[in-house]
Amino acid sequence: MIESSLAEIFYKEFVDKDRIKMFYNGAVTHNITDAFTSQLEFEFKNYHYNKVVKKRVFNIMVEILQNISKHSAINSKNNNTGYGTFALYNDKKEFVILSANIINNKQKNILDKNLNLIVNTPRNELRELYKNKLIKGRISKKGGAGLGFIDISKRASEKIEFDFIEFKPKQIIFLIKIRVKKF
Amino acid sequence: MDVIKLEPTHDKPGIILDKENNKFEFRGNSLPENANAFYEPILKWFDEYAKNPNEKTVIDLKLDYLNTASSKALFSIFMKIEKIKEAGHNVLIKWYYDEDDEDMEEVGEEFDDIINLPFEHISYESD
Repeated sequence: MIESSLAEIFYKEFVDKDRIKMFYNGAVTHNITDAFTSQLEFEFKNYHYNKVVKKRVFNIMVEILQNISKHSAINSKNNNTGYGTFALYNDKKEFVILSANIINNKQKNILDKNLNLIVNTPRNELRELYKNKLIKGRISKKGGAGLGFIDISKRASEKIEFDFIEFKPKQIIFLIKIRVKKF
Repeated sequence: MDVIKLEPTHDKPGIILDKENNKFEFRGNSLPENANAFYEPILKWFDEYAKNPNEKTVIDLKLDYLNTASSKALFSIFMKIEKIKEAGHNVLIKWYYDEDDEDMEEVGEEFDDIINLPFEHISYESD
């Protein structure tokens, strides 16, 4: 569970500016995802981290941003545009990806169930969970495959952390934090 | 039969589907947000191809980045290729992965586990 409030989590980190690699709050469109991933690819060229680490961060970022654009409860109709907040921190030993977006009660119940299943699945069994979902899952109307969080968990170095914070009636902030170790 | 030839972009794979020249290839990044829409014509092409496939179909996949929506779409493509195999034709999936990319190697192994098609896993040297 993430214990701090949304404001604390995002803004407290701003104090130590060196840690922030990327931060975004607003409409997440395909172009925004494209811009951030292109920038990340460009910046990673100068880092000597393991290639797998770079690719994991990249892949997680894509899934997280596409998730916001598809599933945020605050979005423009008929368009893959959702509103949310996203940050990538660069710690000494790990990259930390943090994202938040508004969801409704129904989405909360589904996410809570799915994410609890994922975090309670031992790492060596995540592959089986992924394969089962791939066989049984169907692509939703919005193009999501329901595989995203399993894939993220497979790539993350620690169990993913998530929380739901009451925001307004029928609106809940969904927070997720993912860590990828550099070495 | 129509040839599909798409140049790779930052978020979409380069694709060649050419029955006459017996060349079937996916390469680069596959990160389209709406994988359904992107892969729909590809799936339709395979439906058409399955009616009269070549004696041997070798599909080369050399992907660098793959989002989960694309994985699902690839799974659907493999399902169609499975039907070609079940009809008695010779098929082979060649899964290329960067030797330093254990995650992409694993993706290939996972497909191999759940799909009834012969897979060849081939590592290539990093740039």
